[in-house]
Amino acid sequence: MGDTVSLVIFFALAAMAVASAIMVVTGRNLFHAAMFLGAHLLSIAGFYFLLNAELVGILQVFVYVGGVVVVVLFGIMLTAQITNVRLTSAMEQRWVTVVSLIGLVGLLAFVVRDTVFRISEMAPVEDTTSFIGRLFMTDYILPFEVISILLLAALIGAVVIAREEGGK
Amino acid sequence: MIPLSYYLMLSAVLFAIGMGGVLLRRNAVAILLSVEIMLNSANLNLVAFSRYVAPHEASGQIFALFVMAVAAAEVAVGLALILMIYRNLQSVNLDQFNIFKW
Repeated sequence: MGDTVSLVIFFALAAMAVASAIMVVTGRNLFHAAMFLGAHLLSIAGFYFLLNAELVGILQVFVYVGGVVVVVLFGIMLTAQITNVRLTSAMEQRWVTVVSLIGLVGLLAFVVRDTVFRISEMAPVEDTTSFIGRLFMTDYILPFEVISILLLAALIGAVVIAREEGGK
Repeated sequence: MIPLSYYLMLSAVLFAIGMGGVLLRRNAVAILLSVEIMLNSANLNLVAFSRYVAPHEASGQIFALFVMAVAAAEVAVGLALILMIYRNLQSVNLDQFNIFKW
């Protein structure tokens, strides 16, 4: 893929990601915000494909767009305050927040500009899916098992917390 | 190839947007959505570093997958907590959820 083509794709995806993120943060309608979060997550998945990380991109679509957004939509509907959410806190707090966030981005830009990263010229992994699958079953077997226990605990915990008090 | 710094700056901007949402929104579900944006910007950083600094190892991608799993668990537990708060207070505005205040 040519340099210009990938640059154009990058900037198109970046515009989509930033615009949808702003819509999620500022939107008054929570239902719309969740939909824009789906668009945001899809554009991030596009970046993963651009970065030769096909497995992460596909899982992003499956887990986030297919799972997390749907669960969030359930949460919004169950809490029933869909429209006319009072947006933000007091004005002075808003200005302090915006100024400090701009400061944060400026600081990070400064750091990124001045740091020399060791860019490797090696070719990326050809078949990421089988490569990562093998790594999960060899070098990363312990984190893999720990994360499965974490997911199980979160599943049970979510059921226990959300259950009606007193039980049925 | 696209410079690595482009990805880093993009994810810094996305992180700041998500953080603004966490700091400024009142609604608990909206805060959860903003946290998702922040987690995704961190993930983008991990995958970008994996591609540019160690493309033959893919360890950054594995980290991104772990972050994704933890984020999914976080959404499940977070929404359960929000449902619980809603059931008790009939509201999901976090400025009304001040029973932990002393």
